[in-house]
Parts: sequence; structure tokens; C-alpha cells
Amino acid sequence: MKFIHYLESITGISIYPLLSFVIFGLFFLVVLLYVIRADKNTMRANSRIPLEG
Amino acid sequence: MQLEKFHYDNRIVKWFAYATALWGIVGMLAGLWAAIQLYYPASSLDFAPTTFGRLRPVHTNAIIFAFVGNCIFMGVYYSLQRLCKARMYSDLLSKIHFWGWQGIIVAAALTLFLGYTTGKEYAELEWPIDIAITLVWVVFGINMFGTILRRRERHLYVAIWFYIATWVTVALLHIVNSFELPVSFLKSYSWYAGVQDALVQWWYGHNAVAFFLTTPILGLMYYFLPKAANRPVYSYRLSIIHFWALIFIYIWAGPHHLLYTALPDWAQSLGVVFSVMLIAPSWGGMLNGLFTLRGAWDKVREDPVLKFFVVAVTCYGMATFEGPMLSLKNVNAISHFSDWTIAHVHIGGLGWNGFMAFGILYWLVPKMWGTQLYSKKLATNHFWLGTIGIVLYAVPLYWAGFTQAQMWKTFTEEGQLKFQFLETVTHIIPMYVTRSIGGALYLVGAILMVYNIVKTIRKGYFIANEAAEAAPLPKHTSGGREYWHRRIERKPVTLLVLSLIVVAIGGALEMIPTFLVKSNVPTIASVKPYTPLELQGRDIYIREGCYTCHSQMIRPFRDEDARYGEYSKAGEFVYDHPFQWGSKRTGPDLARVGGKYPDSWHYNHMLDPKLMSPGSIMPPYPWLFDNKIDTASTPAKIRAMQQLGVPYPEGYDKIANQELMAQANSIRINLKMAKIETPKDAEIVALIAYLQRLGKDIKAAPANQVAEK
Repeated sequence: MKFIHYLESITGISIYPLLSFVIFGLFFLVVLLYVIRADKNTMRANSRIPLEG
Repeated sequence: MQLEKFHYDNRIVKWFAYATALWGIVGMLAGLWAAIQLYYPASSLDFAPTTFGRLRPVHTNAIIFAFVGNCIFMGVYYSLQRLCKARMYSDLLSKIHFWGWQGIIVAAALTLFLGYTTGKEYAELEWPIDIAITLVWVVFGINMFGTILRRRERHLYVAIWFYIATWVTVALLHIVNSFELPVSFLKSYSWYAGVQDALVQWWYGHNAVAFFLTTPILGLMYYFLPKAANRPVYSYRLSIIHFWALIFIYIWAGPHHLLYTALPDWAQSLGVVFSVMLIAPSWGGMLNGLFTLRGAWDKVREDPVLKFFVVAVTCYGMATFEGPMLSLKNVNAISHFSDWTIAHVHIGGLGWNGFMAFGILYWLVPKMWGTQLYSKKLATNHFWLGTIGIVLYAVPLYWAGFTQAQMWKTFTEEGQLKFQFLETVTHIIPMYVTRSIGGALYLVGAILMVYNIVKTIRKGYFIANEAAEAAPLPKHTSGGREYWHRRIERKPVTLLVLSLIVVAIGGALEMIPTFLVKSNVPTIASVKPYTPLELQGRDIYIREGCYTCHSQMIRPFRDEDARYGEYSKAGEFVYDHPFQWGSKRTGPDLARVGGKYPDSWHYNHMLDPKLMSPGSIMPPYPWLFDNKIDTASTPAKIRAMQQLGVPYPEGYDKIANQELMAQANSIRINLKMAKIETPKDAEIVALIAYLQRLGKDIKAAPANQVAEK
């Protein structure tokens, strides 16, 4: 048994990096979308929380 | 609505503040001492507990878990109460948390000095302490969530998200990385071996930086920076993106610590890509911090607290720019194993963590004692001492790292390596001296701070219970249409679960493929388990912290091949519980040191390194010649290894010591032929056996198995 490629030769390994990117991309888009659509006044109010206490 | 009156608990904050200052000084002293040993090895005192190999883990653990750890708790306990408008959930839990953590620190220091270590960087503590950490962490979690659930402020401010993500991720990292099989009360073997162990360890190591040294401190930044500047954070929107993107991406980047190693290529590439992406959220956070001070720079000129914060955030920006750069393979080829990495982490440690801690202390103490800071001037002096200290620390080490790496890679025209390893070390010793001066300045600054704080405390009157009032949280009656993220923000448990999922995705996708290959696959037929004597020797190697200066990982470069031999293969480490690849080469790589020198060379070298390599900065290890091999532990160690899948024959534990003695005797005879008398059960014999085994197995492999890639 050749030992040098044993880890690289896992079947379908290329799906892992691809999957990683897709998951992150989608996730990031969702967060971005939320942030863009978020209400301005709420954002302002939230950012002032530390100053009230 | 009726306002409720309650009190914030300042006492617990005070305790953590004291602990921060105390352990900060202790940790820095240990660091300075270790730094001095690099150019003045005699300062190891020829005393086992104070040699570099044991002192360095004491330094790193003290700074990370004692200094920064207590700083985190100090800041969280102060800010969480105010952000939630509620007292901490339970004073008793606060107390248990505090004393439990300090107990862990003391136990950690003692065991590390005594050589009880798992041999995994930043996770060196042995299993009973690991369990204690888990318990105290749970106490902290209950206390934190209890407070959050009893809050009087609907929205969870972004700082709290960082605290929650920190809590859940550190728990995950700690538990996964600490899987180990106890052999005795203070000795265990990592559950994982070789490549898997390395991957888990650096997934942990990297994310300890992320979730212990970064995210909680970012949470503190989001609270204390606006507080000190008396203005809200620049962009709350940005902070939301910062949070999610950071915790999502950070977890993937671990493999960048293992570039060019025997880790599979795809995992390395994945680590690189995510590391480069990491620059975006990191800089988003940095800019958010710095822009908070827009139009308030006049305050920065006046206020030492803001000065510390500005440099801290700037250092964060520098370190998080450098990090992704260092994870590019071509840069990493130069920086890895050199002092460059040490410089990099100290920009983060001294600049980001240290200066945040100092700024928070300078801000908190006058607040909690209802007075003004004793001396602004002294604090400003501290600031300048610290800043100059950081520069004097880091610049020489960057220089040293770059120079040494270039020297390692230089060939003569004839194609020979131009420099002996030792030459590359002696060449950079002036940089080591300068670095320790920088470190000393930084320490002096910290001592000034302690003095300043003590004086401030003497001047003021401690407000143990700070009165506050707020309206209770009305029952939420939402009219259906509400954005989903708003709901998450209100629900700490949902936030916790989501954070966990986000970090778990990265962890799982990174590790599952590597674990699909069983560690006991006979990947290289000629790679055999260690003999009992070698196993004992390996444990001595781990105990003395040899891995803090010596790597066991030859990267596939021309110079490393020429200097150390054939590059390391994943299959060579299948019986290494734990792996000992190391991360720094203050001394040469040892992956193939086996058979390179006679036994007598190792004997004399351990007795006095300068004898065999004049100019060496390695400390002597005289106690190895007096200590006896702990043969009583051999059977248990063999059984533990069997349980971990190392194929010793059935019943081998019963005859292990016999074989151990036979091998020891042959080494004794070898030494005797070189006119060296030593008892065969001296620890040095076991260590020689281990060193002589390193990297040899592959040489016995049939030629067709050692095909080049």
C-alpha cells in the first residue's frame, strides 16, 4: 500500500471546501441583508445601551 | 411603570481586577525570565522547574489564562451587569468562579513547573485541571446566562453576543481538544495521534487565540471604548456583521499553523483561504473601534485610557493584517518555526490584550472607588513605556525571524548549506537581548500601573454595591411582523445555539475528513510502536518541554531536506500520542535525529550542550543523570497505548519492563565503550533511546513505499 497519498485520496474530498464556501457565502448574505434592512432608529438606540448604564 | 431598585456587584469585579494585575506581573516576569534564558542559559539555574522548556508554558499559560482570563472576567462581570441592568445572577456563583479560577491557575503553575504537561501547546494542563476548568467554566456560564435571563434591557447589546460566543466556543474547543486517556493522577495521553492530534490541537490553538484572546476582548472593546469616549460605537450595523463573520470564519483557519507539514493539502488550502478572508471582519471591527473616536481625538490626547485603547485597537488591526499574510504559504515558508511568529503574537499579546487590560483597569478603578486616577501623568508614562516596549520587543524579533529563516535557506555555490544551525542562532542573539529590554520596559510600565492603582484605591472609597434603578422588562407582545434577527437578539439561548452551530460547521467540515481515516491504519508498514524504553524517554521529552524549542516536522523544502533529511510523512506519526511537531525552532529539528550521533554524543550534550556544540544556548539537564526511570508506570502506559489503538501484543504490559531493561542495558554498554559510566535505569538512558529512534522507521521501509510525491 502506498502511504503518501492516503489522506488526499478520500473519496469526494473536494466537496468539503466547496461546501464550506457555499455555507459561508449564504450565511454572510443573510446577515448582510438583515443589516441593510435593519431599522435606523433601532440601530441607534441599540448602540446607545452602554452609555445609559 | 414602577422603577426597580437594585445594586450592581462591584466586589467581584474588584477581585478579578486584583487578579488581573497580579497574574499580569507574574506572567510577564516569567516571560522576561524565559527571554533572558535565550541569551544567558545559565539563568535557568540548572534547576529543572526553571528551565526554558517548563518556564515557557508557565509564561504562556499565565498570560493567556491568568492575566487575560481574569481581565475578561473582570470586564464581563462589570459590563454584563450594566448592559443587562441587573445584578449578577448569583454572588455565590461569582465567588466560586473567582476562587475556582485562581485555584486552577495555582495548580497549573505548580504542575507545569513540576513537569506535568500534556505536551500540547496552550493546552498543557493535565486532565484533573482540565476537568476543573470545565466545571468552573460551567459555573461562569450559569452565572452569565442567569444574569442575561433576569435582565431589564430587552436588547442584548453586541458585547454580550461576543461573551456568549466566547463561552460556548471555548467550551467546545476545550472539551474536544482535551480528550485524553489518564494513565495516572497527573499523566495522560492524547486521544488523538499524529496528524489528527496536530489538526485538533491547532484547531484548538488557533481558536484559543480567536475565542479567548480576541472575541471576549472585542466584547470588552464594544463596551469600554464607547464608555471611555462617552459616545456610541461608530456603526452598530458593522458590529453585527463583524460578529457573525468573525465567529464564522475564525474557526476554519486553524490549519494555517500546519502549512507544509504532513497535514493533507486540501486542509491546508482551506485554512489559507479562510485566513485571508478573516482580514475583512477583523478590520471591520478595528475600524469600528477607531471610528468611534472620530471627532474625539482631542480626548485621546488628554486621556491615558483612550490612548491605551487606540494603540490596542491599532495593534489588533496590525496583528489581524499580519495573521492572514503569515498564512499565505510562501510567507509562512519563511516565518514558520522562526521568531517572526513570536513577534506577531506579541503584537497581539502586548498590544491588543495587554493595552486593553491596562485601559480597562485605569478606567474601572477610579469608577469603582468613586475617585479620580491618582496620577494621569504616571499612566501616560506607563503608556509610553509600554508602547516603546512593544516596538523594542517586536522589531528585533521580526528582524531575527526573517534573518534566521534566510540563513537557514542559504546555499553555497557548491550547493551546500551555507550555515550550521547554531550559526543562525548565535547570529540573532543581539536581537534576543534587545527583545528582552523591550519586554523589561513593558513590565516596568505595568509595575507603574500597579503603583498608580494602589494609590488611587487608597485615595477613594470602594463602592461594593452600586445602586441602580431600571424598569422591569415588560412581557413582550409583538405584533407578528418582526424581523427574525431582532428575535434572536432578544433570546440569549437561541443566540447561544446559533453561535454554536456557526462555529461547529467550520470545526466539523475541517476535521471530519481527516478523521475518516483511522489512525491505526498501517500506513507505513515499517513504522512500529515505540519500545517501552523509548516511550518512557518520550515522556521525559514531553516533561522537559523539548517541543518548545525543537520541531519534529521536516517540511518539503530543499534546505530542510539537506539539513535534516527526507521530509516528514503523515504515516510516521500514527503512534504519537500526543504529536510533538512543535512550532518553533530555537534548536534544530529532531524528526530524523535518530542515528545521527552516537549515544555518547547525546549523553555529553544533555550534560552540557556547550561541550558538544560550543555557543549553544540550550540549558544543561543534569537531573536526567540522577533521576531513575519510573519503571513502575510502564505497564500502565503500555495498556493506555493499547487502548488508544497502538498495536502492542496482548499481555505486553507484563513483559514491557523486561524489554525496557534489556534495551537500557545495551545503551549502557554503548556508553561504556565510549568510557561513560551510567546506571542503566537513569532517565538519560531512556531519553537517548527515544532520540535515537526518531525518524528511523521510514529508513527501514522498502524502496517502493518511500516513493516521492
